[in-house]
Amino acid sequence: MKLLFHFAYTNFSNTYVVGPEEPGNAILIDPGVMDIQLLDLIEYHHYYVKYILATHAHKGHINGMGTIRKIYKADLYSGSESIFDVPSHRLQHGDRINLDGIEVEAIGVPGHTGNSLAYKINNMIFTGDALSAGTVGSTVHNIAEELNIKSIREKILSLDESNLIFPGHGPPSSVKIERRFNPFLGGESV
Amino acid sequence: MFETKLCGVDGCGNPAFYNTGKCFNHLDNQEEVMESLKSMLESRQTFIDLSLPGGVLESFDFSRKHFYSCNFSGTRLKNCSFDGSLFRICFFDFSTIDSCTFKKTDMQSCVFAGSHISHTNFGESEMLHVNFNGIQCKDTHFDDSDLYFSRFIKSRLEEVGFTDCNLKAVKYSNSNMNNVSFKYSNYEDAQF
Repeated sequence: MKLLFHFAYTNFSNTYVVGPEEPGNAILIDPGVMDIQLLDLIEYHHYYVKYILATHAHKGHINGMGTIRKIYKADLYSGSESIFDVPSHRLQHGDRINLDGIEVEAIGVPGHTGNSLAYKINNMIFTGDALSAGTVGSTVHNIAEELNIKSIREKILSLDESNLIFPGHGPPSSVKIERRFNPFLGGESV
Repeated sequence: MFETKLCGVDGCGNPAFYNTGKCFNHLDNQEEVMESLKSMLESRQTFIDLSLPGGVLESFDFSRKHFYSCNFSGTRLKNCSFDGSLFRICFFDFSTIDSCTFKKTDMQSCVFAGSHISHTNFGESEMLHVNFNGIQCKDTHFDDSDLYFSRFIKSRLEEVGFTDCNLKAVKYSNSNMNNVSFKYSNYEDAQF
């Protein structure tokens, strides 16, 4: 399995491509932008984007979807039944799907949005905006913030500390690092 | 990619070192393994999925090499040179890095979180999206570097130089700083 990373300067968001070692069907996670660099990345590895996973329906993470679906006939998976009129396979916490041999587990992390999902593939967790290195996603009110932190603690930080975190914004991290150094989630004092 | 193979010794939960099937601590022939590894590593140019967790690397020359999704977590690096190297999604978290040089590196989406870093030079580098959260860093400098979107949250920085750096969207919140220089840098674009 390969993990490819693309950073979009236009909205500072991360897009990830997960695909096989050899050319084949790939998964695109949070296509915030479809630019020539991302297309080059996909084509260089001879991938065909057959699946799109959206962590949540904010534009900065799905704006590239329209263009991508003009190039590739990709199915959308998210926590909703549709995103901007594009029909989606709706996933809920605990759902497991097999996408061309790649096992994906949906983790419900509501708070940043009502139906935000993280996706676990092997020991990589794609957290979207719910959790990033040293911080948590913005929320519209205190209750949503508490819900976000509770769901991160119970469903992500409870996982084995060797799991790696790939957020929608900012650098990668791990469960071990976030447990210790994320000020929003407690951890050690400096 | 990023697969964690555990040490084959019963009850040991540490990740296995390179292709040995054991963690570094349980290797019977550490010096022999490192000796053969050193010549192999120094002779190659590009590394993909190289996994050396918990290893002790002293006086290795990794300059002008390319590292993709490599794992140096928990390593002890001393007097190693990574000058002019390229890194993509590499992990150096919870490592001890002493007297090393990462000058003129091109680094994206790498992780040094939780590491103890001393007497190390990260100068003149492109370090986009690098996670330095929770580091304890002493007598080290990042001068003339682009640290765009990197994070130093909850870190302890002492005698650290960020002279003439791009600090756009760099986060230093909840950090403890002593004698840290931001001279000529756009520190107003950073978050403290």
